[in-house]
Amino acid sequence: MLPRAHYRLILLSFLILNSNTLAAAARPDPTELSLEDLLNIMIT
Amino acid sequence: MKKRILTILFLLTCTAAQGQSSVSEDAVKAAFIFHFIDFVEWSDEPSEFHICIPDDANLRTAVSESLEGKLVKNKKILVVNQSDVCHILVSDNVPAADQTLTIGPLEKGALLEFRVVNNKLRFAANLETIRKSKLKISSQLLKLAILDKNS
Repeated sequence: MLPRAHYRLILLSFLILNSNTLAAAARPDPTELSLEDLLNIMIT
Repeated sequence: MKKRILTILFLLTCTAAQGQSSVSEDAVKAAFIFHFIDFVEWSDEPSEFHICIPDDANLRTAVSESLEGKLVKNKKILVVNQSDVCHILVSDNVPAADQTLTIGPLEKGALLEFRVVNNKLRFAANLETIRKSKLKISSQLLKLAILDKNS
């Protein structure tokens, strides 16, 4: 069993990481970026 | 049980976080194609733009989804497999067509070519082939292109 504080820490990390995910979802789609910006996007 | 749920949540978050820093190659290609229309003038300006992508079904889907409902130069965009008239053609097989912005291998006569350089998408241009075509491509676009050695 992990101590209660560890659960809180994990939960906090989860919330912080998901705030980034929400920010990514709010990011404009690539067609809204300029050509210069598109040239600097890392692709998968 | 609590531990297991937290582990699953953490793994899900890691997966989601991984996808944030980059965009799929096809989505970026779609955005480039969208912008290319703005920088190219066809001698017969069409009532709607036909983008033909015969070889790559995944790219066709990505471009279609990405540009669906968007207008450029106040005109609709139609993404198709093949058409009698292609204003933009993305293909490895480049036909002789002076009214089509061909995107494919420059050595096969295409005007522009997508290239991946250091995990970023760039585009190359063959100025000689562009001069021979009936399209007017803005110098603003060409200054961002990798210029082909043979042009």
